[in-house]
Amino acid sequence: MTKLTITAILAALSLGTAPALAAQDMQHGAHQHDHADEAPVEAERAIAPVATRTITATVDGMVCDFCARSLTKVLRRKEAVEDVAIDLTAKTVTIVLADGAAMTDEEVEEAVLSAGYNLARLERS
Amino acid sequence: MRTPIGLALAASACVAALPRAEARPVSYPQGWTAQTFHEAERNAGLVHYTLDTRTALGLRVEDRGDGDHVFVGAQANRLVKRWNARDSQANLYLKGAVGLARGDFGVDGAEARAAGLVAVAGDWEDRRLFVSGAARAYAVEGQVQAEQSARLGVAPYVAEFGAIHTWLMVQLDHRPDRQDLPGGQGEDAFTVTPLVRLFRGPVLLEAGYSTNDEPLFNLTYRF
Repeated sequence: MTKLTITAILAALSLGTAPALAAQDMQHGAHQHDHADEAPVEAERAIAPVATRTITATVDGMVCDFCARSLTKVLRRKEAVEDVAIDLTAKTVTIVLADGAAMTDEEVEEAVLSAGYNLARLERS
Repeated sequence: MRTPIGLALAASACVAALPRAEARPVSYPQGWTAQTFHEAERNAGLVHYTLDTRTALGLRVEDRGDGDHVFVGAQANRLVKRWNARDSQANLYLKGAVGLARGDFGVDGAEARAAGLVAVAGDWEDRRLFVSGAARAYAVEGQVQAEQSARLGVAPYVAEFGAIHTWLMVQLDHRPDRQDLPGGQGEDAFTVTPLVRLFRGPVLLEAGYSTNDEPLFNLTYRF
C-alpha cells in the first residue's frame, strides 16, 4: 500500500505539472527544430501556415493523445520539420517545414506509417 | 527522460509493478515506456523500449502475491496488426516474457524456478468508446495459470490533444486460480472492477476498486 500511495502522489504531481512543462516548451517558438525532443507535444494549438512550407496531412487511426504524441515525436525528429500541430477532431497533422527544407509526399507518408498510422490525404499550401 | 518527475515515475516503475490491461504495449519507435500495475494481490512493473512500429522489448518485475514469489524477466510485446480507420483504431498484440520466479513455493527455503508468460490482447477505440480483451497464461515449471479479462470504456467528453482525457471503464476478470487459494479462502473467479482512466501528455493513470474489495492502480509514463 505504501508503494501504491507513493506512486499515486507521483502521478498526481506529474499530471499537474504537465501543463507548466508544456507552457515552458512553447516558449521555444521557432527554434523547436533544433532540439526536437524538448519541443511541446502535450497541447493542441494552432500554428500559422507558412506559404509553400505548410503540409496538412489527414491521418487515419489518430484517436487519442498517445496517437497525437507519437506522430508529433516522430515528425519532429525529421530535419526538415520545424513545427507540428495536431487537430484530433479534424484528424489532421499540420507540418511546417524549415526554411529551405523539403519533404516529398512519400517521406511524409513514411513518417506517418512509422508512427503507426495511415496517411489518408495530403495537402500543401 | 527529461524531467525530475519523469525520473521519479520511471524509478517507481522499476521498484513496484504487474498488469492485466496494459495500455498501448508498443509505443512510437525509440520511445521508452514505464508502467506499474497494482491489481488485486499483485504488483508489477514493466519498462520497455520500442524498437520499431511493431516491437517493444523490456524488463518485467511481478510480485504474484498468491503464488508467494516474484517473477523477473525479459518481455517482448508485438503489435501483430493495427487497423486504422477514419475515426477509430483497433489493435491485436502478442506478448511474451521469460525469466525466473523466486520464492519459497511451499518448500523450505527460497528457490528460483524458470517461469514465463504469454498473452494475446486486442482493443478497439474511437474517441467515445473503448473495448478490449486479453487472455494470459503464466507458467512456473509445469504449473500454468490461465486468466482472461475484458474492458468496456466510455469517454464522458471528447478531449482535444493536450487536455485531460477521461474514461469511465469497467473491467471484468476471470481468474480460475483464485478459487483454489489455500485454507478454503477461495474468492470469486469473476471480478468486476469499475475504474477511471485519466491521461494527459505522457502520463496515463487508472484507479478503481473491485468487487473483491481490492484497489486497482495502474500508471503509464512515456518518454
